[in-house]
Amino acid sequence: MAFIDTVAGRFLGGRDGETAQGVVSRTLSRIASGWLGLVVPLAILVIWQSLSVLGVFRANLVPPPAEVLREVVDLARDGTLWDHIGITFQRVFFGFFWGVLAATVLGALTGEFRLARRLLDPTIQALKAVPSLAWVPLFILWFGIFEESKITLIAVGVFFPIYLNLMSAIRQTDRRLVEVARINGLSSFQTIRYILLPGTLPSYVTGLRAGLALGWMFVIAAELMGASEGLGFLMIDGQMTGRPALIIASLILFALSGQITDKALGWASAPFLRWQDNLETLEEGQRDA
Amino acid sequence: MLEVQGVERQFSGRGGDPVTALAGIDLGIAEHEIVALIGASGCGKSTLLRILSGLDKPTGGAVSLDGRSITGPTPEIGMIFQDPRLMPWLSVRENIRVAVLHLDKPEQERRITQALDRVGLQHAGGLWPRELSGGMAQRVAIARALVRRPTILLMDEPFSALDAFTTASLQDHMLEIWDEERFTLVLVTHDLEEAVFLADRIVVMKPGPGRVTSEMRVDLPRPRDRNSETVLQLKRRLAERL
Ligand SMILES: Nc1ncnc2c1ncn2[C@@H]1O[C@H](COP(=O)(O)OP(=O)(O)OP(=O)(O)O)[C@@H](O)[C@H]1O
Ligand SMILES: [Mg+2]
Repeated sequence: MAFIDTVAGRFLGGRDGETAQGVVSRTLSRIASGWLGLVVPLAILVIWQSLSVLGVFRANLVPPPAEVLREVVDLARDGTLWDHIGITFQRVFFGFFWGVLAATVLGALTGEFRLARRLLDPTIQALKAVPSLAWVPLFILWFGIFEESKITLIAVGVFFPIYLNLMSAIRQTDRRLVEVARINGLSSFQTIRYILLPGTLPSYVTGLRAGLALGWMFVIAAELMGASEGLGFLMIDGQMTGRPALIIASLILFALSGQITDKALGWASAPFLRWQDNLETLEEGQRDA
Repeated sequence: MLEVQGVERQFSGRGGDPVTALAGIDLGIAEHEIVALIGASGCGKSTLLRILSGLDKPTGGAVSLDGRSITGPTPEIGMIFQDPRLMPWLSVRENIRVAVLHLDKPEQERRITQALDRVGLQHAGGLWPRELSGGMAQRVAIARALVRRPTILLMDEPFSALDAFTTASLQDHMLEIWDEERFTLVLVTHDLEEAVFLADRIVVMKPGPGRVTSEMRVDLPRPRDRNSETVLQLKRRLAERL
């Protein structure tokens, strides 16, 4: 049976020894990887528009998609949309930057040095137990309601997943590979360059992506709590002025922004992670071929 | 000449009382000799090999190479582990390069190409470790050790994870390389046939605490026949001593 399957796979233009099922699922997944993800959003859009037209939704609560789109276009036309998106991106960028910087330095220290871990980690773990939004009053008191308090809040959100991932990844460095480094007379710098960095990179990237997601979460929180610009401000504005289309438009813009930055991070790190032996690289190997 | 004099190794075991892994090991290994260390699990073979490599330090006694004492890893002594220990994020070529970072670029390239040739992997330089079979991966590990041109090569059960066919071909291959490169070979093995087939001398160890209990010379000319009557006889005699 397996043999017949393999022959059929050959017939369908598969590689040596590939089964028919393999070829079909490979082809399907190649198509799917591009377009399948759009099916559900489009379906929702169609249903949403139809229900709006049929009058099932009350237009002053759930506006039809077309109106949401018009809201975005209007904002884009008078130029304010780009200002709002720009300022939000700027906040995420700086918050992410400082969060990454602090997490990387501290995570590297506590991961590598036992003394640093014993000294610093308990405090950091205790701080982690504070729900991050609980910092808001304090930050506003310290840094005012302007940019500093927002960026600090975002940085705090970004910090923890990166710190935790990096520290544990360094601690889990394969001792057997470090022995290979010792046998071959590598310096500490070379050991870091050839073993520690590449070995911790996958977890670090996972931490970065989780941190970035939290960064977007916290920028909304920061902007909802008081801002005169930004996507979060647009949402509050929509609520105050009774424009649900504006709220939904900002919501979608937030989702897109989060997606785009996450994908960018994924693309930027992909060349360094191609060596990995997991299901994701397996899928990619099939796509390349 | 590699000399082991009264080497002891104690580990601090659980609950405070120390575990003696090696007690007073004396051993002299001549240039270009092949010595097999054999003995029950836990008798300290790996511990002894790690001390010879400089990865571990004895708690008593000393190891010296041509009169100079060994206190840490040195370029003259290479080590091949039971598992290939390749860096998954480096291609085969780059994995081997890790062993010759102290040389300039052209010399690195020359040596890497030569080492890959040596183990019959001249076409595998660009592969990732995940794309190698177990036997290929162990060949890369051998190439990584050879590329440094050690005068002593230590191997800790290097073929034990491989199937019988691959093992036999790697053993033959190893003997060829040994013949041409003229290094000294110390290998730990569980496999009596491997010991008799490869070694000039077999050192038998016993646990509790780890010590050398007997030695056996194998004065057969090479190439040896794994299935010859003499080899089978030596295997039987060796089994009796274990
Ligand atoms: N790092 C360590 N810490 C504590 N005890 C150790 C350590 N390494 C080895 N030992 C102990 O030393 C003894 C010898 O171990 P070793 O690994 O050298 O045995 P071996 O002869 O190589 O066994 P095997 O044939 O199973 O590989 C064992 O009792 C082991 O528990
Ligand atoms: Mg062992």
